[in-house]
Amino acid sequence: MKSDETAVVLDAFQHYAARGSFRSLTAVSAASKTELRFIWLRDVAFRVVFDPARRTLTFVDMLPAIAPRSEMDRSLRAFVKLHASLAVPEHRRVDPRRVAVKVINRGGAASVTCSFKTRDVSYGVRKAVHLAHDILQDFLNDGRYIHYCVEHFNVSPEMA
Amino acid sequence: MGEPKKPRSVSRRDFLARSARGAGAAAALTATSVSRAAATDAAPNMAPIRVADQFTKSIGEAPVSFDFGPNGLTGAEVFARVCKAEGLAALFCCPGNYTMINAISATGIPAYGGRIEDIMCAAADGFSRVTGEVAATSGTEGPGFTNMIMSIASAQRAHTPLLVLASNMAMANEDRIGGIQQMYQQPITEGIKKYGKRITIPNRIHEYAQHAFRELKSGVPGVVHLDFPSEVHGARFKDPSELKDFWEASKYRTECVAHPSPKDIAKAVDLIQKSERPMIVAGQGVFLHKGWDALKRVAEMNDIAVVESGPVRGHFGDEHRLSANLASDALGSADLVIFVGQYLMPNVGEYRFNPDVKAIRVHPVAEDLGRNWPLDLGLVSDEKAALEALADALPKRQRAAWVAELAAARKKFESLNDEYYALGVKYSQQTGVVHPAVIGKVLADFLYRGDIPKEQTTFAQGGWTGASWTRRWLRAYRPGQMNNCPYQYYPIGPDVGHLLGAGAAMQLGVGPQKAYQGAPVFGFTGDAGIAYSVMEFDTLTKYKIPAIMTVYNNNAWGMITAAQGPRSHHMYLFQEHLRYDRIAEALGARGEYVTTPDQYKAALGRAYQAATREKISTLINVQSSRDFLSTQTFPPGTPRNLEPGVTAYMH
Ligand SMILES: Cc1ncc(C[n+]2csc(CCOP(=O)(O)OP(=O)(O)O)c2C)c(N)n1
Ligand SMILES: [Mg+2]
Repeated sequence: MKSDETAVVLDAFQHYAARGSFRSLTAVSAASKTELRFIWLRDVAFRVVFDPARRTLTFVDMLPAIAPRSEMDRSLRAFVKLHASLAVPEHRRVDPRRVAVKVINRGGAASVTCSFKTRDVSYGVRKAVHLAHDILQDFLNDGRYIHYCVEHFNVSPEMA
Repeated sequence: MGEPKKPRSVSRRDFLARSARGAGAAAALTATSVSRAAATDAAPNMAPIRVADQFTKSIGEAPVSFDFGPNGLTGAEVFARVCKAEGLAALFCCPGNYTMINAISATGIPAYGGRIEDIMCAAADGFSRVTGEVAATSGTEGPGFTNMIMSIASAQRAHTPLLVLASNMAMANEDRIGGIQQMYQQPITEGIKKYGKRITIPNRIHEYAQHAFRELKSGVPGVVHLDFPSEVHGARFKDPSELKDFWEASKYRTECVAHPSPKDIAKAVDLIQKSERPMIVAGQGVFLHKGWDALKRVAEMNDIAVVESGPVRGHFGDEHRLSANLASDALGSADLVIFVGQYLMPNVGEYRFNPDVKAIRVHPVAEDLGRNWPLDLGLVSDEKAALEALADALPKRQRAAWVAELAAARKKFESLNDEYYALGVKYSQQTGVVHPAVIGKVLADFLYRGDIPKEQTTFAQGGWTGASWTRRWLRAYRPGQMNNCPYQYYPIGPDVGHLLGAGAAMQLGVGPQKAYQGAPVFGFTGDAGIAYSVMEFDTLTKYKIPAIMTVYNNNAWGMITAAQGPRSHHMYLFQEHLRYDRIAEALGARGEYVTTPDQYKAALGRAYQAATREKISTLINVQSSRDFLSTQTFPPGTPRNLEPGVTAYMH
């Protein structure tokens, strides 16, 4: 049986599928975790894992091929930190009292994990999706990363 | 008047001497060069470049009205008569399709004859984009028509109400390859027109003329492509009874447009009232259907942000406190987006809204509602009618926090521009040539913060990587001020055509250009781009259309970023320091070659003087470097674009 929290997560992802964001959404449960797979933006495949025991939602290997401690790795962390700060308006912010965001670089691929309390699952999932969207749309939309986007995010070389 | 003196043929010695002067100037990278070929290069006994007397006489002749007299009318005259009655605003053509262009021009419809069909087609597109009026283009049947394809496709993608006329050969020769230039055209415009027809039955010419204008003036506009074999345009009709459906406009076309139902308006008001941060995307339909006053009323009534989209900008303007054209950072904050007159819908994710944003779309016809973007509410309505109904129905509301967020986002955009400009100045000093950020800033200072009223100048914004810089600085303050020439289809090159179209609109004072009639127009293009259309400096000069084109000369196709691996780069490179300015001079216009920001500033001033005082156009060749494309050596390389707003070009 799915936990209530997992049901909330699934609902939220289905909501984004209905709004035209996520395509080919599938959910697979293994042990107590649920893995969601979907296609987003320029036909890029994403993998998100929800762990109800720890209430964490992870965009697994969201940004591939980033060397740990590289300029891009550091900038990504700074971007995520900025989005939990008063520098962005409240509706764009990930409230650090409700959601903790971590960037983990394992083997040169950056995953983004959001953890939250039971009462904040709905808020946490929404914020996680929005933060991922901000990373893909704003962080990567930088002259310095254009070749990276051509290589890993289906940006046409015509745009490079 | 006797024959003009025969031009002396250019001797080899002359040629070499002139080439050496050119090479010298090119080698001395700090040199500015200004000249008009006629003034500086002509040998004493060489006939000057000039406009033929016959040109001046011809253009001054009185128009005729095509009424059925004792000789009746030809098919071409019948068609031209409908064009005149329908207010066809201008024709841009190259010879070919002779009886048709002669008849159209004879009616007094302003006609411009140029050098290259494709570029004249772009001129018609550019004219229509900044006026909202129907324009026509024409070329000869086979080669003239096939030359036009790029610009026909571009016009269709921009939903320009463009009438394409191109043919003159006889059906009698069809399939026999008799004579020359035979071409069965309609399949070639498949997918790049709204409506097309080869007219084969002579007495149906009036009927199809009517239908053409029904298509051009109703619903969502686009390209209408008609071709007339000589059996049709050459046929003679004694009186109207010989023509099918010879009706006046009021009988074959309606000015009636769809209005929103009160129920739908109530739903829209409800969604807007529930929203904290609503944003209208004001597309080209708002411009085409003259909804700009109603748009302002809606926005101001309820503090709704407005971002413009589409091939032409200015119908809301960049300066308004509710404008999000520069407020890139605020796009993702909108919780409700209201697409109005967005003729080419982006896919979800292509516009920088957040994944939860709710969507309303107002569109003149139902067929497109729901395409590419899931809607919370779709309204079938004329844009102006819907905006007026909304303005009447919405309560007054202030959204101080949202307005403040927009202002902060605009400020952030401008601060980034300041950073880019500082970098551009530094890079220019380092290299001795002009960085494109400096071109953007210098142009903007000249157009909006100098002696010219900032609303005055209509701009044809072309180019590729250079445009990613200049778009950040160029502004629109009133309807029809900014044409994003390569919008969507992104053809490199027809930019002088768009400049010519805008210049003709200014010269004639058509639509929203009326208030600035006679003012010079400005444009921007790349060095790959200029090659496609530079010959139209002859046309600009001939018709005394004052235009100033900046050419960002980085010695390469901007797509040199795609050159990878051995033996690739040579295909993307030009010779360095090419003198496009000298081509303009050779065509009777002015040319300037500049290598520093100060020289560029001064050149703009001189060009403007020549444009206003003598109606002479100038090409300013701004020497730059492809090295500026490097994200490592000259970060950020090229700034990234975000849609919708000033940096957009896709939708
Ligand atoms: C007619 C046409 N040919 C080729 C392309 C592909 N393309 C896109 S941008 C570009 C480079 C344009 O170079 P230039 O006009 O010099 O502009 P720059 O980027 O150097 O400012 C090319 C080849 C195109 N869009 N249109
Ligand atoms: Mg170039």
